[in-house]
Amino acid sequence: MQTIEERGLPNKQVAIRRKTKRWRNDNLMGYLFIAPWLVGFFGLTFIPIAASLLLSFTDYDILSGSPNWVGLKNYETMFFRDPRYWRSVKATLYFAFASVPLKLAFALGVALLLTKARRFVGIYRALYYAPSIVGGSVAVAVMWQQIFGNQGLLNALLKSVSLPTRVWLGDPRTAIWTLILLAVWQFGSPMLIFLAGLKQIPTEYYEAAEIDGAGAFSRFWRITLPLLTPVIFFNLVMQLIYGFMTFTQAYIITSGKPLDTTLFYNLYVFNRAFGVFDLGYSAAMSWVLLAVIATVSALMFKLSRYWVFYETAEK
Amino acid sequence: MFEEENPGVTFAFEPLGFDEYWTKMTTQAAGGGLPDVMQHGSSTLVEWAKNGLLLPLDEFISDSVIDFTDIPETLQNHGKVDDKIYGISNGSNANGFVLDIDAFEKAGIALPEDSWTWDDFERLALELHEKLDIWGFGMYLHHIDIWRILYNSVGQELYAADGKSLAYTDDKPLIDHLNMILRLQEAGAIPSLAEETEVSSQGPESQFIVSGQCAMDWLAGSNQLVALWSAAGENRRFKLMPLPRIAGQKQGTSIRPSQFLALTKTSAHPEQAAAFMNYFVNSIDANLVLNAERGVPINLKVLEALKAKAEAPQEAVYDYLARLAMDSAPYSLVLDPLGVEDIRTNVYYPELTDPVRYGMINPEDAVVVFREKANEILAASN
Repeated sequence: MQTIEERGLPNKQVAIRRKTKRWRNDNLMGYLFIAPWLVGFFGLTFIPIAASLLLSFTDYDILSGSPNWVGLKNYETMFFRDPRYWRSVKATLYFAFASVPLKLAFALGVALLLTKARRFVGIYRALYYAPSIVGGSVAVAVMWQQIFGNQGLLNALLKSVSLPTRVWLGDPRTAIWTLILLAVWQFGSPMLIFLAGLKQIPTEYYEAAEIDGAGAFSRFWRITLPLLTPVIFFNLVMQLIYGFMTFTQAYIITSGKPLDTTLFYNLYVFNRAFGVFDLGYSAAMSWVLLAVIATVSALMFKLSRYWVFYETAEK
Repeated sequence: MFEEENPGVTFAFEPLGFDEYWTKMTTQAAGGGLPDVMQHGSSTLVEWAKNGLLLPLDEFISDSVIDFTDIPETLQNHGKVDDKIYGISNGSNANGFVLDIDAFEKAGIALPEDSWTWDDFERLALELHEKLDIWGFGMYLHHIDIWRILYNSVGQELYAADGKSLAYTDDKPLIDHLNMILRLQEAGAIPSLAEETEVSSQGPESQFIVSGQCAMDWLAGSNQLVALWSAAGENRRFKLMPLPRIAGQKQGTSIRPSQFLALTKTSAHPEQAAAFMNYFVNSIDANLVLNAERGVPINLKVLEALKAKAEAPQEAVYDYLARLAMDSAPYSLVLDPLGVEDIRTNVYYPELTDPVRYGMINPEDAVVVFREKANEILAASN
């Protein structure tokens, strides 16, 4: 290395030049290391997503060759001329806004019960968590179909005690509730998150409250719940997003029937894409879903500062 | 078996569920990798032929690679699109109603004639329901094929020749049929759509007549009788009937190709593929193995050979198609323009028959909505 005097440059410039060279070298190494992931990201995620955005402005249906540009026609049809679209929106919203609060309520309730260190608490925790691991699977969906089927378990039980049976899966009023029940049954994973959140509440607060004479309900309402709001918020956003994207259960158990009451949004996208090969239209629907979920999430984040209390946050 | 006789030809095959077949085939059409020979239904054959994905078979026929000598001409032309033959019928079948002979005897009711009308049918369904306390008829009294049969019965087509609209203007046959369904539903002689929903997406083995819950049932394809009968038990007795006709009108049921064998344009070995298709349709040995599972063979010599070895279910099917052949409605491939699948999935069931059967809209109003939407789709696709 030449000395500064030999090169005849002022100190600062040489120092900057050396820093820039190393900076560039370090960055290059970094990119090289994540190159495999970058290839995957661009090839399998980013480019297909961009392609689907472009497809949403075409009338691509595979068989008739290359896609034709149709501009906003797909979006127009979707919003103004497709009653099934609005039915699927309605079914999805109904499902999400019914199953998520119930799911979180159960999750919180059971988590509260499991915070006390009883004897078998570990086993109970595992038992309640188990459904959320297997719940999204095809096997469980088929099982659910058997339970609520016309000749299924539930009707058999009702008959054995002489109660009236119903066609749970075929009746437009009850079909979606079998799916809501399936979703709520999987409350185990938000429950675990609530448990973690509950454990973080310092016991001093409870002791202080007890000394001041607060009852159990007061303690819950004024200590537990406010301090849990970050966790509630997290669970709410995650579960709502999953709720909007539900597919498997509707596909297997009811196929969207009866009368499209269980035609969830993603199921309709799937049917249109791979049933009638209306790919441009389904791409458009998927992008609308993305926009809606993004909007809803952004809204929830904006509103969160009114009810979520972070201990470290400033008022 | 074909491999034995033709060394140098090997087959690669993979099992697929029924639902995935079209998803996979269409994806392969887009991305390459289509098989040489594939099976088609009537609507997909038209679509694929018009989009240039299939090879016309006329030269193979004139070169006798595919031998049509023992096949009646009407059955040869089943696979014609735009004056070229794109598909060979794999076997013929027809829609039908399957009747439980034992149930009729138990109720003391005589079996109906082939020329029975919808009024006869309604009366029978109600009587059977009253006498046996089961449903008179099983599922799918609102099936989309019945829509065609109703209009063929009054001598009309469903779709216009240019495919841009419905051909018929009088909605009365459809309205009357839907009202009959509602009356039977009301009387408890047929299941409610809620009860049908579960069973309708499963195969013929799950139909109500198999478990004895109804005395008559729908059969989407006559070849399904074999599966239905074996699920029901060998000691049962069934008879296949053409669908009832509208009083004073003609037979509406037609004999159609159950499926087609077609050659794809991307096939690297069209000659061998055509030879295989020829074997599939014309070889007696091969068809003894297949035993009319895909439909009644179109080659008359093959049919004779099969009849000699038929058991009760196959006999019932052959007998039905022979009776039907005497006055069946004519069938032609180009009756289905593009967009028919869209109408079936997105309009016929969700906007017309299902809401009507659930009592959410009355038939008179529903057919207006149906007509509007169907015409929209047809105009846009053709």
